[in-house]
Amino acid sequence: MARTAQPPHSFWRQSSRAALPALVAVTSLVSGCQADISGGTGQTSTQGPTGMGLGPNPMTKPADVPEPGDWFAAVQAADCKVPDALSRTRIRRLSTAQWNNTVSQGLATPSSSKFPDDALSSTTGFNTDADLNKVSVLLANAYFDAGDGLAPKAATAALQTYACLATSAKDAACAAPFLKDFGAKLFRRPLTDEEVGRYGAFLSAQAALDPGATAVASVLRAMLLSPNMVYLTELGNSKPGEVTLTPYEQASLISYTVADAPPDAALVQAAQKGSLDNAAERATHAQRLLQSPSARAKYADFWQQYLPLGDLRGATGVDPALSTAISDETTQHFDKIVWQQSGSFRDLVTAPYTYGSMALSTVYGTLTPGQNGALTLPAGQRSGFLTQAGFLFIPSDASVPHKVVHRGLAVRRRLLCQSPPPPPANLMPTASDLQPLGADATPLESFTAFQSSKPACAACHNSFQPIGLAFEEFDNMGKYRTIYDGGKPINTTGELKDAGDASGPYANAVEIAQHIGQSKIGEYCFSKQFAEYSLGRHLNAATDACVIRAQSDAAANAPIQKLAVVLSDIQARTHRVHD
Amino acid sequence: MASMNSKRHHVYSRRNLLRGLGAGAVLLSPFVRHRMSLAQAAPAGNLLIFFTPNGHIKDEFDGAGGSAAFTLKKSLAPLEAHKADLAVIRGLTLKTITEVNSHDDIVRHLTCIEGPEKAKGYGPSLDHVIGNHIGQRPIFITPEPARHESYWRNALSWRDAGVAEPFLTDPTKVFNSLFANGTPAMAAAMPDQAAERARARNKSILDFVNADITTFRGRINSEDKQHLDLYLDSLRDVEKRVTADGSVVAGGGGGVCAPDTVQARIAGLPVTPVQKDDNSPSGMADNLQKNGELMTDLVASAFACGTQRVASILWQGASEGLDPMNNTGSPNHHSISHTSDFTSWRGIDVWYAKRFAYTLDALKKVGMLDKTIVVWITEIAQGHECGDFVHIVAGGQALGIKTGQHILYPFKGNPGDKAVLKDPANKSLADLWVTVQNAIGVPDQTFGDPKWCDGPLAELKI
Repeated sequence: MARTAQPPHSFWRQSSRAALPALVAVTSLVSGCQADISGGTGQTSTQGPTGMGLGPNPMTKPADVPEPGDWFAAVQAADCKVPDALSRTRIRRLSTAQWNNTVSQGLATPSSSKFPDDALSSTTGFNTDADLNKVSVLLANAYFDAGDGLAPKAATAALQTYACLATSAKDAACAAPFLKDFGAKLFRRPLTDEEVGRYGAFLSAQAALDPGATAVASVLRAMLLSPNMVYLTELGNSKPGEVTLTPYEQASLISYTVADAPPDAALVQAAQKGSLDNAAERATHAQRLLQSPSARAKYADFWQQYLPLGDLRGATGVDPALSTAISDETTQHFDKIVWQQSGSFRDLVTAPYTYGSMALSTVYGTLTPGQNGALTLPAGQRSGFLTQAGFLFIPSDASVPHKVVHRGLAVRRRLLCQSPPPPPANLMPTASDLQPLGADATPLESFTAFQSSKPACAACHNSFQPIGLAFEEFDNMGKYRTIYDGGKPINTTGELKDAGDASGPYANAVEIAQHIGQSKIGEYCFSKQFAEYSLGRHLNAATDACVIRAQSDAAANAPIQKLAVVLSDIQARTHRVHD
Repeated sequence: MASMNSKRHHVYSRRNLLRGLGAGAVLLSPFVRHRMSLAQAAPAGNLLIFFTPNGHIKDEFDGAGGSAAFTLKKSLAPLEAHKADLAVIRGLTLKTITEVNSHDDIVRHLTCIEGPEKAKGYGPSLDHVIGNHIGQRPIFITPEPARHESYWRNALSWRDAGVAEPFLTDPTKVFNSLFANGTPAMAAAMPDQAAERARARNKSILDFVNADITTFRGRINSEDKQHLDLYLDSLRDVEKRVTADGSVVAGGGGGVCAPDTVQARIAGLPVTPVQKDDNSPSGMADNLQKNGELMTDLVASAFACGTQRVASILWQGASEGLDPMNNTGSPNHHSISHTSDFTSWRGIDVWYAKRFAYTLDALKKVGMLDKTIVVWITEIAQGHECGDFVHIVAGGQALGIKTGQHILYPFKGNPGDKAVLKDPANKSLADLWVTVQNAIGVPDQTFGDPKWCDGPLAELKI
């Protein structure tokens, strides 16, 4: 059937975040929550970034497909039996981890170069966006210096293997095997004859001026700066129209998607044989690469960026040993569930146990050691990472409303992929607006009064602040409590609204976690974010529904491990459209 | 929109690309030639942008009295001694259709072009427009080590649409960038043969890579070509650094060129830990002041030597910022700007006014103030608004800037009402940038989106 090109990725599609760093993908929230509220008149405006579900934006590129108002409904409704529209060809700059893994393998010299931080995308909240990640002036300088540092050592080693280079680097016959060997590793594909000739001529010119080892190092420095090294490609033969990825591009897409690393020997061999068109073979390779340390490191990086954690380690008034134990707990919880248990999103959010040090009993009370290092938590008080101290921690000097807002927003944004718009300029509530009855009122009393005193603000705050109130059974450190210090009761009941199949009444935060953990919206939202992190682009529920759903459609409660395998397969499908 | 963008796409114009593609001396020669021709003309002007966040208390951060009876209000009291070198401009408006009217407008303050994404620049900022014209990359500096993250809050300077200029915070890197072609001390040292060969080798490698990029660029889709254009652009900067031969024209900027004395101060700076943007500790005001003053002196020195002509110093990012008045951490400046604690807010405005006074003194000391236009922008006006701003322009008298005056442009409407952002009755901020670019030699009579421009501010010109 005729296939049409998807519009370019997030360039035109991104909306914005403002005061808080988080992803923005707005779905229908509580009615009345608008992206913008004009001039204090109470009138709503249809102005807003693309994809806010608020009507047409005059700046929208015609070819763009608007985001659906309700992303979850759109994903559910998609017909994934129909082939997807083709993606555009693209290039993607290697991340720091990918660069180091590629160079370590390509030069057989360990590299742990530090490059400038990549920007967080305003749409996904991750630092992997392919459009944003360019070679800035600072990065180009850092690349140059890294190559300058690494190449001499690698050149010395190369001269051991290719001894003729010491004296005859000018000879094409001597140079070619070296160039083909190192070029193929750094560019993740065989060099063309033209490239062998061009690099050979460069080596020859350098060898006329410098000793062999220096000339070889110069060639390696040039290779490290080559766009063939710096960018992953999805280009095929670059002819306008529909193109087919090369087998080497497929191999790279599998291996960088799973493990942020260049193809290993087995994958290169499969590319040589041309066997990567076979889905089962692709899956076998992806599965193998999942076991590598670099795949684990990639998942760990995702988790670190995904979790909306405060900076616990630097917080004042927290015992450093305890803060380390709490940070380790969040890391271990994910690691053990993903790798030891082959667990799913549901396990992350509903586990009645945790992993880590017994020192955590300071926060959680009695911990009972169970199987495989798991610690069973006091019954009925906890449910997965949403009720762990790492997620719950709020600095002691943060205001109570700040805590409630922070926790509520984190659930809407990261767990349900719904972002209320930031407060409009003329309606930025101050701390005293959020506590109209003063500091002695409970957060629930404050919120009730705030709803009456600031109805325009409440329209949006209703969508997240009640969720934050349900977490009031945990203090700033995440300790469980049933009444406030002053003796007032804590009311955590409510109803989760506009949350797809996670909607419904709840008694407390544990039940919110259970609702989300057992829902499709929670599972899809997690998959969506993993895919956004991994593919380096924002996913539009209108055009990427089947990518979002791919893992869930394959199996109920599929292991998180499989996400990378499924995505690597989607990436390695061969067709793209080029212009 | 398309035509507007293409108008401002001169960063990657064919001519600019060719600059990076050639071999041998061809690579930098257009730039060198251009600079030589500028040197023969009347003073080559400099620009320094002085950025502070979260607005100002409008009625105190202002002046009055036109030029005859020009007075400064209390937030600007530390500038009293510099009154003759200042023009305080009240009433400009950052015009937009998208009407963001908030912190995200940091991306539009110096670009004056908008697009669908609130937190993205859609064209080169003033510093780059001028930098492109004079053939020299502007420098973007922040004195606070907290700024370790690439983030919209710091996105003041835009190389081009969608390409935020990264900032430098490390004083050594700032020095190396400002004096990439060497200092008088370096020039005095005889280059040895090995160093000369190393520079030539670096150049050969970069020439080879440039050719490789050009071949590769031919294979990628139209939208992604921007990646390669930026890579080439970045490598030109690398080349400048790694082929530097110590040659510098001492005093080429027309001032007292003695960078070595400023360089010596870098070693004595306190080491400050990297902080989170929105959660930095108390007690950092001294660091901010020391780092900021050093950066200011480095820039002044580079202006005097003629090695740099355009610079921006972002004291703190948008919507954040420590409170130097009470010496508390970020984002207390932002929090205070949302309360009625005018004592603290005024304290912050006054603290920055002292830093601005330091900046003017630093330029004067090296004989560069009259050849440099310094513009203080405060991110937003009072209360998130982008209408009825107060801007402070200083120096630049030798470039035709009329100082010693308060200019009041009538402002129509309530600044909190977004309709004011497109009201033709309100004077456009872009007109200030037209005036500045004209004074430094960019002849264009519009800046950013031409529809918001009426031409230069006549009142600001001698």
